Amino acid sequence: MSQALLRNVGGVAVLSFLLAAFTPAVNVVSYWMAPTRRSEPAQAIVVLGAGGVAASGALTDTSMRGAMDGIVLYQKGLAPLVVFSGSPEGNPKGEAEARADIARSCGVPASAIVTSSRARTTNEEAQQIHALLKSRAIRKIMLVADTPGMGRAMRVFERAGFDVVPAPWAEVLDFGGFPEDRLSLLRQVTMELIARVYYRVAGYG
Amino acid sequence: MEGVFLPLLVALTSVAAYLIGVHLLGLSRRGLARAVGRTLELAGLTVVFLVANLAIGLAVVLATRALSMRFVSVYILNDVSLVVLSALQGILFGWWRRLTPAAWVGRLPATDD
Repeated sequence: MSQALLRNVGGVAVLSFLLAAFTPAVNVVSYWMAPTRRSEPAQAIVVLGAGGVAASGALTDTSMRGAMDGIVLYQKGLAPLVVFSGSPEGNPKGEAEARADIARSCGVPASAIVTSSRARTTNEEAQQIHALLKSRAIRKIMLVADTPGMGRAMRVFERAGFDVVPAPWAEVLDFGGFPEDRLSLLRQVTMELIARVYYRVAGYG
Repeated sequence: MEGVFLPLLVALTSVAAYLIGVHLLGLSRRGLARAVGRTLELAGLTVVFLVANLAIGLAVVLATRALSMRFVSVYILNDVSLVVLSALQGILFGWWRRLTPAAWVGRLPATDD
């Protein structure tokens, strides 16, 4: 590879880093990736797996945030049922069960909680949650997912047979954040773009 | 103010380093331009290694899922340490290339220093 080409690639990389870390460019891209559909009450709130469970058995920060979002939406009366999804890995219990424990301790009745703990990808989550909710005749769901991943998740769940609305705060444009937060968001956005390409190629949505 | 604090801090120390380099250490201004070029080359090599690591890592994850019952999450690649390791690879390869010029004779334009 020639020196000139390497310098051009390096220049673009440095410029991209500066733009991503010190301007709200990544925040805008993340906002642009989120669906524009309005949120409204649904038959069930579905909290997608995110972050899993740490070795100590406690939920990771990301997973805890998703769980709390689901609990708050339930307590606001936006749906009579909340579905916690999560990775099966975890000790002594998986992510979905750990989230359900927190919801019960926050006052959500056990009868209003469903867990799905065998899915490892968004596509598997859609299939398994559809199988779980089919017997309850639930078709309209409110999805709780991270902002960059919301669009892909909505398409996958719609493909599984649901009418999907996003959680209300998925549409907020946030210009703030420290450089490290923005770089973290950049990694999230990059991974999501790769996932979108993969899901399209694989025919998942 | 908080948003521009780090860039201002780095600009300040960069100006100080420039003044020390020129006035105390006697470094040339032309040398600085060449150093910027070399730094961009190393950044470019870092990008090449990062893309290669991500592409091969993704292929290995997907192949592992397809060929065995073991599930490996793609998010294993979403780690800042991969960027740091790619940077180390890029710097090491760049210096290796620079310190063994015979291997490149006839294949690349002459270096400018």
